[in-house]
Amino acid sequence: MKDWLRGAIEHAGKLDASYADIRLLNMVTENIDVKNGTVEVITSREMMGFGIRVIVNGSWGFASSSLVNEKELRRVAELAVQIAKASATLKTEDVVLADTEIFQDRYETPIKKDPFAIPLKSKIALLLEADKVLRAKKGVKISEAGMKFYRTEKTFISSEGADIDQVIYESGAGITATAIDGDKMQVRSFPNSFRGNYGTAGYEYIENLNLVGQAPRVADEAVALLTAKECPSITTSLIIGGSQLALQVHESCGHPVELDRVFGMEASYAGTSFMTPEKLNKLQYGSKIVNIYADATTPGGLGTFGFDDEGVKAQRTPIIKDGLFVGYLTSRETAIKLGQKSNGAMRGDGWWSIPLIRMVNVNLEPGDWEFDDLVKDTQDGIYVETNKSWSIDDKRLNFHFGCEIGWEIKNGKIGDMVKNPAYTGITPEFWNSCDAICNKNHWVVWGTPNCGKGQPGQTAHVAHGTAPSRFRNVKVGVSK
Amino acid sequence: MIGKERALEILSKIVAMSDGDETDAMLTAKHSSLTRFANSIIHQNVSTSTSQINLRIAKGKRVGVASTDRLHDDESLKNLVKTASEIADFQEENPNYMGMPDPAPYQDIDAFCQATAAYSPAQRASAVKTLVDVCDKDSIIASGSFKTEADEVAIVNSKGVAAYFPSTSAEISTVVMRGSSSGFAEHSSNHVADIDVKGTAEEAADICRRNVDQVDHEAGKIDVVLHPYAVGDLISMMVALEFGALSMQEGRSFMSEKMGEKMFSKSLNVWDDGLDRSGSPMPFDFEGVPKRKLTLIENGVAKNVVYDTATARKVGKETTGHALPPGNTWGPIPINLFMGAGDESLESLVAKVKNGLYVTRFHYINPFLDLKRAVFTGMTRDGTFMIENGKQTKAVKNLRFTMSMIDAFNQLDGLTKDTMLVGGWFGVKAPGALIRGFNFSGTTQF
Repeated sequence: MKDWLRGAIEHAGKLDASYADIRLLNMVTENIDVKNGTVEVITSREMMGFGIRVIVNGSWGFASSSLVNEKELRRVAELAVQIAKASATLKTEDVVLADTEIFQDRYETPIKKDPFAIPLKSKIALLLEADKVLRAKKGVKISEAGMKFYRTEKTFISSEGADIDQVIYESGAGITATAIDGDKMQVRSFPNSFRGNYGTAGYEYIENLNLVGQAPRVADEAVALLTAKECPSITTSLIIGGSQLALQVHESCGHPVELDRVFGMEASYAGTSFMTPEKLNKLQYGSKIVNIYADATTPGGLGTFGFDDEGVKAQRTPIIKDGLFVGYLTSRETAIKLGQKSNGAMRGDGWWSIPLIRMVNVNLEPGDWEFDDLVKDTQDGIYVETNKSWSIDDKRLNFHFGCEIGWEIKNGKIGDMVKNPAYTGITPEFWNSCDAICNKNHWVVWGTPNCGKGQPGQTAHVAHGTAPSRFRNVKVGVSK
Repeated sequence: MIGKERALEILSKIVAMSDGDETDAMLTAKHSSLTRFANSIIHQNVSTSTSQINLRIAKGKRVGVASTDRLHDDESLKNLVKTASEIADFQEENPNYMGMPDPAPYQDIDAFCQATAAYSPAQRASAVKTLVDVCDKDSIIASGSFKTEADEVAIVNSKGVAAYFPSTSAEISTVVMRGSSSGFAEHSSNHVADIDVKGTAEEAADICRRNVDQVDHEAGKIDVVLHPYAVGDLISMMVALEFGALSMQEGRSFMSEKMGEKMFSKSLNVWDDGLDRSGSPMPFDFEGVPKRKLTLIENGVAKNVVYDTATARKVGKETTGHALPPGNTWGPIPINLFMGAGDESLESLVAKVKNGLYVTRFHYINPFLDLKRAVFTGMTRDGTFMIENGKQTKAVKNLRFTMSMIDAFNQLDGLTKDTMLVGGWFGVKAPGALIRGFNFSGTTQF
């Protein structure tokens, strides 16, 4: 097979490609969804194909196919060259790639239990048990539990001599209780909303989630929310739980530091960024305690891998240091424009996709607070958990998040539960108001398996390590 | 292209291999080319051919679903059948499984254009250059994409359904910018020759030229005139989330309590019609059931929801032909939406407003804040203007809205007579609209 792949690269070279790479992917997924005591869905999916990326006359071309044979590889290489030549009719400068170390290597996600080797019956039994516990609570009208597994075998070969094989395993699961009373509906999820939590790991990840053990609390909270008071509309101190803070990092830090977005390459779709290059090393993005790293080596993170889709080795890069904006997520094409080398953030979501700059694990470093001490230190405020809705403007400044649940904090104690909590703000003002971050005992890596970007749309798997944190003077309760 | 004969042959062969009581197989194939431009140059230019078979095998009420994209390989197809069959064996009985549909004739719709399917990278590059040249004259930078696509969908089931539909689509969209100004336009059709590239560029550039020196505008309840781009996003999201039978049966949708009630302005009419060539037609759903026109909202009254076989048979109804591919948990969804027109123009709607805002489009709308009240939040983008004494005047900085769509579409006070096919979640043909007292909840810095 590799001879075929190298042959396609060589063929592109003979057709005037100054650079070419190929990715061959073999992807397997398994998805199980249980609802109200019934196994609604078990699906198994296989996907195999390749994508060829070339530079001809200083411009990019990309073509792909699911038919993997020598003749098709050559045809697709020719199509990629043809496309690149068309691109070159509308350019102002040649694409130049930053130098990178060339690897011949192999990476495999370290796992303890192959999720595809676990009998379906065991997986179904676990989900049905969690689902049953959720439904045992009177008032829960819809109980759901699901798990999903991915195995991606990826080969990357480039005209520069890279030859990298990777096998990435991803596992995730979650439960949801929906309580409905007439025109009132409330939802609670564990460990996170929108299908749970995910990591690069094996089935041991699912076992450690303790879905069944958490189900009673999840069900209780869903029902209690139906009669909870509405979150007040006030400006107050806000303690944000880890999973919600992960999405906050994602939307207000992860996306705006994607250097392709900064250079306008996503302007037509998701927008641009307020974190422009003249602000690098100058913008006080957050308070002094805010430290954010892009780290593709975080053990078990959903954004963890060995090499990105340009063959750049996984690494850890500072993005925000002591509150100062110091780095971007980059590719070879964009990094060189800042005189840098790529920090390895290029990934495509399948063989059919051109790689784009995607988040890896973009982590907020832990602080030094115990959660209980943080609450005790808060005179008045609101504590919120678990994302329900998210929206941010096209420069990543004005954000609005809704959460599943909140509690009032009065005189240093958790008080009444509140429903429909939401908060809004402007990114740098918000992060500069951060005055407390919980310590590593509360730090969790939250996997997001549904990060959208690009045209045609791509869905990346990324993650964010966070711990509950406090922000001052936040506008809360704006869901009307 | 795989073609009708070959597609049905592959699927029939798979269905014949199944040991289930009922089996259906769906093939989808996409041949998509997209030229993406930014900073007035082509920076991403891709072509991809994908195909996939979804197989559903039912043994009694035990259902297994498997899929593969390796449809040219007999061994993979055998494995596909084996996997789906084994999953069905492992399954618990699913009381919500109500069987597969019987065959029924579907209408032939000619939505395939050879010129669109064969459109070359050089032709797309030339079209993009036309767009960029219009902008260049005013030193405006263009970004966007031009996509041409040929799609095939085929469905065969063990009860005799055998359906095939080829279609093409061409779409251009652009965001153009100069300094802090921006504008937007998009255009789509089954036929690439119908795409008015120059007109799209001129529309976006015109907005950009006017969208200068944006001033602050306070949030609050404000009368708004919405371009069809903005209306299409709101209506398609609301109807997709609220007008599916599963959402209603589970009690997640406001339709659980409001079916048959007048909820919206009497000028609001919404229907789904997969047969209307002026939308994005598809003659059957993903179970192979023929589509037909179905009224969803009539004179402001919520009239119907859409069904697939499972949700319909559960309550003794006929499917309306709105099934999604097997393996989904969303239930049926309307994906061929039309919103009724009025008798106004955008200018005459603006003339009806003393103090208000004109919104070209929204950005990053999220509909999940409160599904039972359809509370959405999102930002304005690419051209928001003040309306003073019936005239569009100064550009304003972008605002955030947060509002129940039930309230918003109950406060309609005029619709344009012209409608246009816009993106939305699944594509919708929508008019422009005047909504009184639209709730803006915040502002941003640009």
